Parts: sequence; structure tokens; C-alpha cells
Amino acid sequence: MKNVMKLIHRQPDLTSWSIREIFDKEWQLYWSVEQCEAERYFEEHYYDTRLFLTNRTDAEVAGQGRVRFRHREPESEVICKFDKGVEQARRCIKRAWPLPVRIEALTPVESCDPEVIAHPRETLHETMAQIWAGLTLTPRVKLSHCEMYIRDRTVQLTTSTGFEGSFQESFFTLYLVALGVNAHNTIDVKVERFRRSPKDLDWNQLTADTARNAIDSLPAKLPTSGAKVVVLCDDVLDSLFDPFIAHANGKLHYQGMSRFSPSTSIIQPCHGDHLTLTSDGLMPRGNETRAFDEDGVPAQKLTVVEQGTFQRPVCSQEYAHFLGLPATGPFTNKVVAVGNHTRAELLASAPEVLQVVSFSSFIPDPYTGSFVGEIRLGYEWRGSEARPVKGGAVSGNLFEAFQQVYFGSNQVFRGDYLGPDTVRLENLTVAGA
Amino acid sequence: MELWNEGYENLVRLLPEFVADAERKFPYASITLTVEAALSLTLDGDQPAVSVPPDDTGITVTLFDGRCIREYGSNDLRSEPLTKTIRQMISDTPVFEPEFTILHPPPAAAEYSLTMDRDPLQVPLAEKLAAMRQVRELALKEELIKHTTVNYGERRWIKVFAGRDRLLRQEVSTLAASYTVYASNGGQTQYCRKGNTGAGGFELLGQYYEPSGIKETTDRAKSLLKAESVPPGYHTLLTAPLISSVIAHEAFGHGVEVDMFLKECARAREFIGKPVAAPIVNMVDHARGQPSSGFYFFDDEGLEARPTQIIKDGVLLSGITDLYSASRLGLPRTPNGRRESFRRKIYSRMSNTFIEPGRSSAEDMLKGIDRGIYLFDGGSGMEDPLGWGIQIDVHAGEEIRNGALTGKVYSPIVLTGYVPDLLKSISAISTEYGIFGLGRCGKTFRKDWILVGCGSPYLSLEGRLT
Repeated sequence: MKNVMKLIHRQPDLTSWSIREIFDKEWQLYWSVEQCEAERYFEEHYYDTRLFLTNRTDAEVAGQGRVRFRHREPESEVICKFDKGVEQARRCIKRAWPLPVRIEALTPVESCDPEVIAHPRETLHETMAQIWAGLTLTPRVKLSHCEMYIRDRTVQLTTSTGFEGSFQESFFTLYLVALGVNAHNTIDVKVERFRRSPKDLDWNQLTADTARNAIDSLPAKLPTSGAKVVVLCDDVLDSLFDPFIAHANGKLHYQGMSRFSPSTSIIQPCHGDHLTLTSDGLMPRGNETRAFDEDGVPAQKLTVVEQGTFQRPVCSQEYAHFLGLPATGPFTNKVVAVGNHTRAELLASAPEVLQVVSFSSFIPDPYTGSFVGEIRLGYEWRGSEARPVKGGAVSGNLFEAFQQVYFGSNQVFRGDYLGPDTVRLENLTVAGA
Repeated sequence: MELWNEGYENLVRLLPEFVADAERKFPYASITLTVEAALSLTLDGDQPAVSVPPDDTGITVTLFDGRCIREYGSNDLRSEPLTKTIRQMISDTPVFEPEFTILHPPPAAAEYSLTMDRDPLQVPLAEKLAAMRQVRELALKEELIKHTTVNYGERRWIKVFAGRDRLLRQEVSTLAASYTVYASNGGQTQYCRKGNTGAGGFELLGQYYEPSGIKETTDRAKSLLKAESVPPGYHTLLTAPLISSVIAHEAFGHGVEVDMFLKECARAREFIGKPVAAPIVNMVDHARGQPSSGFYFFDDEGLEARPTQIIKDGVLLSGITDLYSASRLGLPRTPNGRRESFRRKIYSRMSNTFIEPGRSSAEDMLKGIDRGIYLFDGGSGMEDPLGWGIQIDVHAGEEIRNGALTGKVYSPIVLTGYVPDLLKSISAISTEYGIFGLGRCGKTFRKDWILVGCGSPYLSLEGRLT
């Protein structure tokens, strides 16, 4: 850091700069069937450095370079990389924007579980024992493999505008594959979870749900084809709102490519529930909760869509300056307002309903809102009777489908999502048997 | 900028000694050192930006304690603290009676380097940005094209592997370039993307930013403004090499990763020696077979690249292995032990995976389809090694009637089905062939990203579209 600062001060052309020092320590445990396959630890310490060079004759444009230095990297390499960064700043000329100024007091946020990062290896092994015990409770279910990581990250930001701040984060990552086995078939169920701590998960519930999904997947058949009422829940919720978040981004507004405009309805006509979507950077233990972003914009809570009406874009410092809006930082944890119907009511609200628990892959196009997903596990409901289904695909467009959307009344926390546990959409295309 | 320096050279001299020290106590030890330089540029509209991709410069120390693999990774490459840490790790890690034997490759010492015409690290930044701006200018000349995003990425890496009586070094450069064009008719906006990644120097950029490719991409983006939903159901398909490549990658690339055999999570284990595709299908994984993005001279476990015949005449012959899985299962090693970086463990992974060319011409294959769909654009997918399901996301396709394309475009499209059904339905394979750097490939949960490549011909087959 001292070497970098020395170089910055020797370079009079540089008008501003920021240095983000990141120190990661991560413990990893890999379990395969009945055995520990690997245990790993790594550490990485580096400085993500941005260099800004304002044109002396035109203050409206500036160059920006970005380089990364390893902690205690030899001085000759630091000089070489720094020169590259200055060259980038001379060549990558774009519209100028100012870094945020110093902030006296940042709002405290909860982004770290100190107990977990004090005993990471023990925590990983204890958690593995819990998973093992939970899964083996159910006959015909076994563990295929499990990977867990605990990361301890410290971030310190220093800028030429006087900003100085730091925070610590803990991350817990789980990748789990369980098998449902009978005489004719073996089927896998995948579970991935990201939280600030393993304590943020209900392990009894998680292993019970995983075992049930494995058992239910065994007899699952293709769904029937047609235009259907579809109820989405569990893993599907993680990316369901991505196109709405994408179009709320200040960059898309600046480029004139967002379909949303302030004070206007995002979906027209809307016959169902109206979407209320909030970016909550202050959510305790949210995966996207951080004291400030990479520019130094403090964490905040901001409602971007209120009862179906677009309020304002979320803006990094750069695009806030271009749009003449206050900076909010990126979209953080998504909070979606719940509706008035229980999951049971939403499942029973049509003669035939397809419930999707997980897709093989569900990545709605953030720009167009179109999506197609192969069903990994779902249920076809006719009244109170449910038949497990697997394979086939559901397709549609979220901006069209949200013209008639209904949100469940039960709230669920999924790391970076706090919102209804169930979302019902009308008239999606199901291709199956 | 010089990637290598005296400090790294001194460190490399110490590695065989570290390995020998560790193997006095443990049945297996190895060390991998990676030094990397990477640059990533984006021209979003007319605004250029530099981003810093993760720097994979770092070291990994691997020990087998008789039961499991224990690893330490760090980006601190100073000899003194590293020596201390490795000695501490050797001393603190308990060792057990081996539960199985780790397969050691024979002694070797070699240095490899990929030749290139123009070293990207020596090309001025201004020239790279000028090439990107030219793509934007050409695209914007086309009617209805309102916005562009142009990307450029370069990576140069040196890897040194030290194992028992084994010291290998390789230097490889990869270049990635892509662009996305957005067409708008006022009412709606559609986009189309083109990109490739290859092993080689700056000379690759000419192919990746070729004007004819830009024109084709803008035309496709415009045609998507009139795209319709594909009629769901089974169709006769003609797949362009890019889509064929994704099918190969997802179907029997991921499906034969042997670490998944060990985890009881791959059906292919029961099908070795059995037919899984039409008899005209041959499939190979070979890191050095093509100058594509999955190119390497030896894998991250120090095994030199060589071809692995996965499917021969429709019969599944072999999986692709990493050291741990092959040792545990008693299977032959193939050079496919790869890790994302010092931050992650090794798995069985693909390198450059391809369906070999066939005997038909693409033109004859098109003429032979009475009613069908030509799948030509986009392509990403999701593997299912246990269920053998497949999901390929295709950005666009075009209707075929009476052996000719009609101009009616469909988007988006998803190809789903049961892998053996899909591969057994292949009725013709073209002599024409395309090579693609598919970009980054994730493992199981879309994680542990590595560069892989693919090459494939046109395929005629039957498949279910949504």
C-alpha cells in the first residue's frame, strides 16, 4: 500500500484515485459419499486500485485505469503495473464523474458472524455432521457429495477524496447433492445456499426438504403440455426478479435502454398483485449487506418499485452523476412485498396448477425478460392431489407474465432475498408429454 | 511487461525440495505455481472501461495424507514466508495408512510454450481500443442498430508443476473477444452476440472482429425483431457448429467426468463399452488438439495432454479423469485434472471437446430436411450426468421447409431431452467444422469456472424444442 501511495504522489497527472484493500481467508471442506475428499485453506491479499486522470482542458472527460497489486508484491512489479494503469487512464477517456467525499459516520450494518470465522474448521465439520445425520434419517436417501466454504473477508477503502472506511464480511457457501435411490432408478437433488453464516439456515428443515425432494423425484414423470397456471417457489425465487432489477439500473436508464420510467407503471395492464421491490443494503446478515460499495457510497434502503409504479433507478456514483440523481450504490438485497394468499390457496386456485420447485437452470434474460427452464422437480396439482413431475420445460416472458401475478403471504429469507415464498403466474407454456 | 522474473525463478528452484521433504512423510505431494497477467476491456456504447479480472497468480501446495487431499493456496509468492508455511503444513498435518494408492506419473522435466505471431502484452492499448471502436462503428452503420457493447480480454499464464521427479513448465496466451449489438424498431429491442476465445496471440482478433461477422450479427439482431415463439414439440433439427459444440459439451463432456462416477452421480459409469450415440458419432477430448480456449500442454496435476477418445462409432469408451478419482476408482489417468485457480480444488474437467467431422455436406443436410428448424445462434446449456437430461438454450433458429431456409425466425428456443435419444437420433454429420472457445465452463453448480473449447460439425438430428 505504501509503495502504491508513493507512486500515486509522484504522478501529478492523476486527479483522483481509490484503493480497495481486500484480504480473504477461506476454509473449504469437500465430502464425497462417506468420506472426506479434501480440506483446503487459501488466503489472498490484494489492492484493487483505480486511477483517474482529468483532462486539463476539458473537465467533462476523464481517463480511468484499474490495476491490482498483490500484498507485498516486489517493487519492480508494482511500478510496472502502476505504469500500465496510468497508460489505461490516458487512453480510456470517458465522461468524468467524481468519487464520493468523506463521510463522518457510516450506518453500522451486520455483515459478519464473528463466531463462525473464529472457528471455521470446527464449524464446517459440525455442519457436515448435521447434514449427514439429517439425510440418513430418511430411507432411500443418501449423500452424493457436499462442499462447504467459510470465508472471512476484510475490506478497506481509501480514496483521494478523503473517504476511509473498512468492514468485515463472513460468507458461508453450501453445495450439496443428495441421491434418491430405489430398485429401478437413482436421482440427484442439488442444493446450493449462500448465507453469512451456517447459523442462518434451518438445517433440520433443509435436510428434510432435500430428502423429500429426492424421494419425490424418483417416480416423477413428464408434465402434461399446454398453457398453464404455474406456481413458482423455493430455488426459482432466487433469479425470478432479475429482469426487474436489471431495468431498475441507472446505467440502462442513462443509455436509454430501460423499459421503466419514473412514476409510471412497470406492467400494463396489471390484473393481479402489484409488485413492490426494494433494494435493502442494510438488511441484517443479507448476502449483499455491506457498509459501503466499491466507490464509497454508503449502504441504504431504497424502494425502486412501489405497488407496480417505478420510483427511481439504483445508481452507482458514476451513473448517479450522469443522471443528476443521488448515488445509491448497486442493487443489494431484494425485498419483495408479500401478497394475501397462502401457498395452499394459490395451489388450489385453479383446477390444474403446475408447481415448480426447481429448474435445471433458470436464468431469465435480464433484458427481454424471456425465459425457458427445464423442470428439475415440480408437482401437477389437481385439487388436493399432487403428482411429481420432472423434465419438460416452462417458457414465457416475465414482463408479460407479471400482468397477472399473485404473491404468497408467507415471507421467506434466502440470503439476498426477503419476500413471498410463492409466486403464481398465469398462462405460461408448458412443454411436456 | 515481463511476466516472469528472478523472484519466481528462485521460488521454482525450491519447489522440488519442498516436494521431496513432504514425500518423506506423505505418500504424495505436489506444488503448482501460476503467474498470470490479464486485461479486460469493455466499450459500452462509446464509453471505454478497464476491468480487473481475478488475478490467478498464486501457489497451491497439495498433500495426500493417506485418506484425503489437503491443500494450501496463497497469492503471496515470497520465498521466505512460503517456506515457513510449507514446513509448518508438513509438520502439522497428520498422516495415515494409505487407503488407496495415488498414481504417480513417470519422471519428466520439460518446458512448453505456445507460439504466437503478436504478443498481446506488447500491443499498445490504443490499438486494442481502436479495434473495438471499429466494431462499434461498423455495427452502427446498420439500420435499426442502436447500441453496442464490445469486449476484449487477454490472459497470459505460466504454470509450473513440481511433483515426484517431475518439473514441468508451460506458457500459454489466450485471447477473448465478443460484441453484442442491440436492434430497436422503437417498439421493441432485441440483441445478438458473437464471440470467441482462442489460444494464441493478438492475431486472433482479426478473425473475431471480422466485418462479415459483424454484418451477420447485426442482421440476426434485426431479424429477431420479427421472431416468433417456436412451436413446442419434436422437430427435425439442423444444428450449426456452435450449437453442435454445446450439445457435445453438455451431453458427453460433463457426463463422463469421472469424479462424478466416484460421487455416484454419473450414469455413464454403467455405459462404458455400450452404445450411447448413433454409430457415425465420434467424440474426443484433447487439450492440444485445437488452438481453442481449453488449450494446455499439461493439466494442473502435471500430466501431459493427449487425446482421450470418449465415443468411438457411437460406443462410450472412456471417461476423463483427475488424479484423486482415477486413483480411488483404479481407472487410467487422462490429462483432465483442472482447477479454476489456487482458490479452488481440482476436479475432472474437459479441455477442448469435439465431435469429429462426418462425411456429409452441410448443404446436402439442409436439402434433406423437408420440415424442420435450423438452430444457429447463441447456445449455453446445463448438464445432468445422472439423469442424462439435457437443456440447451438457443438464442435463435430459422424454419426449414422443403430443404431451404424460409426466413421465419424463432427466439428464444430451448432444446431438451434424454441424451442417448438425442445422440442416437443423429442421422448426418458434416465435413464442415467450426472451432469455438466456449468461454468459461462451470462445474455442477455453475461454479469453478475454467476455460474450455469445442469444435463440431453440423448435425442433423431429432429433438424436443420449447
